[in-house]
Amino acid sequence: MKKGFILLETIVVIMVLCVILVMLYSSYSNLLVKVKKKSLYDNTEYIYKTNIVRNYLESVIPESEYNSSLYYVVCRNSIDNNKCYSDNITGNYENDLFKFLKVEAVYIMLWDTNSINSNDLTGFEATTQNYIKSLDPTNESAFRIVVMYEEENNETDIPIYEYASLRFGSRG
Amino acid sequence: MRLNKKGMSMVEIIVSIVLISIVLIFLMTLFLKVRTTYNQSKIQADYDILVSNIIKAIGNDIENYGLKSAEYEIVNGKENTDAIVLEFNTFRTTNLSENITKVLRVYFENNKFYISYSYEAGYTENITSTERVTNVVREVPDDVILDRDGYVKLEKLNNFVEIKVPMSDKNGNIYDINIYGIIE
Repeated sequence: MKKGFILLETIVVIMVLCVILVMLYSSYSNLLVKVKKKSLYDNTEYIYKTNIVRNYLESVIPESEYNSSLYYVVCRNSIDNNKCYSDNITGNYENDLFKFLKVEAVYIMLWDTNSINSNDLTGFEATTQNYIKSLDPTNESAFRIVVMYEEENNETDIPIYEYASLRFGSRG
Repeated sequence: MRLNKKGMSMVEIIVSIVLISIVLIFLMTLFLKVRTTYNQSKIQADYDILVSNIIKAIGNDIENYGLKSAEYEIVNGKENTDAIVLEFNTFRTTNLSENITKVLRVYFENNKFYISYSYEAGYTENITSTERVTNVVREVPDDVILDRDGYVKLEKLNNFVEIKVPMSDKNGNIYDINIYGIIE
């Protein structure tokens, strides 16, 4: 009897293999998603730096300046007339602070970032948009400060941007 | 019961072995990748915990006591770039004329590197048990690469101070400790 595999046997074997592979792939891709998400978590250094920036800005920016809009841009180096710091100025506390901490941008926004839709974010850098989308907001009437830092990239000249955010203002 | 005693043909066996081999190769690469990722994240977690502990200890002191000065340790009239002495504006509770002074030090002992942030006898007399429990000593992971020119770096811009311990692992991943303070 030289029948070999019949079609049904072949299909069953392939189906079993496929199920095993799909299960493995999904568990593996879940792992990768978790690792990617972890890379977006704020690390201690940037939280600490953001705390210094927050302490300073809370003392100089009144709530009336930022509580009437979805977000308030304190400074952003990508826009010439609103730079966070200038390399030529020394002796100015704010300029020195932002230069020393390599602050690229500072935003104050609603704590509940779900209320900010994608269209409102079009003016932000792509990395900032990704960061804001990765935040896990709760429906609270508070504000958050989001600070963007420039980090040197040892491999290429393209800088790396890092972020951290904290509650901001008296409602925090 | 009648059994087919012919068994599988050579071609069937070869086809089965080839199919199983392809699946196994795929699975092996998958497991190797997962294992590499796991090992890497384990190393990263060790460094992250170390960095967080040191930043938290120094950051809390700067916030609570106010930084007065940060200078390299002076040994025999020369700067020791393995240690930084931090003096705070607050006085010790046991001696109200003596400022709180702690030392951030990286040292090598018993074939391992350690980072300590503590009260030291050379800077603080009669260290109390309350003070001693705030001392932080952490072992640095084995595969660490430190800067041989000086384990600790100190940079200043007017009143702003950056304390840095450059570290990386053998794969070139950077895990620097960066602490920022404002001299008040």
